[in-house]
Amino acid sequence: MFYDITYFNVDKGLTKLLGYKKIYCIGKDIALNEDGDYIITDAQQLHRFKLSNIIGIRASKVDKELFSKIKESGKPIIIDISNLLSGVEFIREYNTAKNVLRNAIKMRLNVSLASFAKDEAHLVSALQMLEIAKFLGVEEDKAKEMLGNGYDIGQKE
Amino acid sequence: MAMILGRKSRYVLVMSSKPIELGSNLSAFFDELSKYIGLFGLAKLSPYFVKNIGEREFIFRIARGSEKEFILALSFVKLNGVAFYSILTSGTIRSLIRKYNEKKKN
Repeated sequence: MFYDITYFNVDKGLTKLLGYKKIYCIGKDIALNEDGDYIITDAQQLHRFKLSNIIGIRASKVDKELFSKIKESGKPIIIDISNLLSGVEFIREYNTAKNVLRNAIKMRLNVSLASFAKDEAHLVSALQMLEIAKFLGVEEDKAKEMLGNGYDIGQKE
Repeated sequence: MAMILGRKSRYVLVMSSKPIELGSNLSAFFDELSKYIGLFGLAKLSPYFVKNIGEREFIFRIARGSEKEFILALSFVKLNGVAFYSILTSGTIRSLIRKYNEKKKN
């Protein structure tokens, strides 16, 4: 089963219809760049938080130094595809996301994708998310693995 | 058209983020879709709007083997701020509706 992260609360009915096990809401289930028990942090702010509270690190550009720090931390890297989904400067956003993903996989990081949708118009179903992962150059098995485990809060508990 | 050429089809259940009258906006929808898959892609997929089964649920017929490209392209399509989610695919309309009802119940 797949997971996603959004900025708004998605009700259970829609979550199931979209094919996700859980869609985590920033500000409710998890915190973004703020203190809490379950934190998603931007790669540059990794040092600000207690490592045990971090469940994933958001990255939207390639920075090998930061990537090696993420590798040391053992936390999954979460690739933000919200810019890709917005459709603005599509080719540029596609190349950026593909680059981040390729470098993260090369460095053997635990990778995941998330929509970080601000509203329902920027959400995608699990089927679509899987196809987007493949579109970014990942093989089917790896894509399923990426969307299944990356930031499952249950794993931390 | 697909049937005349002897192509086999797959049916995809698509859900919109808001209620939308897709029947009267079909050309705009396919224009938006062709931005991502191109005219050749559109010819290969030969998408056909079958019917809507609710305010937000629609069934499309796609050439078999191309449904994944349709699902991917649909992720980027926005029609007047409305997004489209692909929920299920199936070989027949009947099983598609049955699977959808089961999914809704669970």
